[in-house]
Amino acid sequence: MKPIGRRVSATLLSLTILLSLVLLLLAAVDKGRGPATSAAEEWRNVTIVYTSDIKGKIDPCG
Amino acid sequence: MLNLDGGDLFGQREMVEKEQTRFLCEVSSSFGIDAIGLGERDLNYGIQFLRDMMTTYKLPFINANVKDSRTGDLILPPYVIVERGGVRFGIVSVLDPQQKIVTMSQHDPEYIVEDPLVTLRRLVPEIRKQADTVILISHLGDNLTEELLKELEGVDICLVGHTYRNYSTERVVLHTVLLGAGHEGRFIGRCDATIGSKGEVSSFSIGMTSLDDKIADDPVVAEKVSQFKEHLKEFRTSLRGEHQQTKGSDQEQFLTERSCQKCHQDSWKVVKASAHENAMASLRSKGQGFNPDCLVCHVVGYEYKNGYDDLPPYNTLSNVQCEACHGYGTMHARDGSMLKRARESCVGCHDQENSPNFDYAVYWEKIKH
Repeated sequence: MKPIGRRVSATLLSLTILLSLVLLLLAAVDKGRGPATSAAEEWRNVTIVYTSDIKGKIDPCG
Repeated sequence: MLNLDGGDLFGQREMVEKEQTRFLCEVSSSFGIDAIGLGERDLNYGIQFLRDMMTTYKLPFINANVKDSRTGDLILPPYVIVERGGVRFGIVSVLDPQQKIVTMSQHDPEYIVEDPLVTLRRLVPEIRKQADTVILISHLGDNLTEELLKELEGVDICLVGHTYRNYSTERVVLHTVLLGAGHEGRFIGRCDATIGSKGEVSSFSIGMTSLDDKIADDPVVAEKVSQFKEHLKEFRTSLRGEHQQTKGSDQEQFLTERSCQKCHQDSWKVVKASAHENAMASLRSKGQGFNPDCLVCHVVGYEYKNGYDDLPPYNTLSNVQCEACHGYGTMHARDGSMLKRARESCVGCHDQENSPNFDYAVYWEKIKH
């Protein structure tokens, strides 16, 4: 049983390492995809408020 | 949020309006305005007054095509760069060369107003290098602004000044979004825009709020306005100097020429065609429309109770109307006894100082009625 157990442990360890590598790779790929994320961020919302021709009035005329 | 004004913030060329403009500038300083395009009215009190307001109240007036004729220099910064929400806005402003600049100041230079299109074709590429999005404050009115934008590249947003119209719906000229907020503080506009990666406006919506009684006053500003109005009453009285309204009677009224002409149509037509009819316009053209020493001879009953004042309803008594010579209409309607006063009153204004060539017989022929 021990040898089998040892084999299972070794398989699990390999899987863990593989999974970690895959995650690291995905993270790297995601990081490399930076421009796509910032492109979405480049749509910027701005509010402009404006008046004009107040002509010295301190009360609206109508 | 970006806060803009299309210009013509200042009032008319009168002392009371100047005082009111000073107050308006003080209050506006708390609104955080990012740029104000120069309107011709903003020079009504002279360049020094404008600069004082800019310094004292941190009001960012800009203009790219008005120059001092003596030096050839622009009188204001041509544009500003303002960053909001991660966008660098380059804001530039031009004035219509056809607008006449008349100031109350004796010390102002002549102004040269250069062609807006030539100015902007030169300047917009320069601004583009420093900004993502270019905003033009066009103090050219509606039609000239639209004509300009059809000839001009590189402006993303344009706020139109010198207009009565507010643009309550989305408007675009070629690639430029048009904004307009009407006049006299009746409306405040709001544009919610999405700015793309190249600084272009990819989508936008317009909201126009009518500043009527449904909008509650800010209590702090309302209190300031209330105090200022009290101050203005005293200021108005002090301005009259020796020309206080002490003559005549509270019981009498000047009825204006509209009442006179009902019975005296022929006489009214003669006087209407004379220089008396343009008395106020001639004063204003010389920047003296506020001067009590002059007003006393250019309006009806300046020193009389219920006589001319620059507030309604007494501002209808401008120019040398019938009652300037014949006296209160209410008295005339009762006994018709004021005719004699007309001849006497001529020399009250046509004196040696103001009318050295005055000859009653000759002058009377011009307005004989």
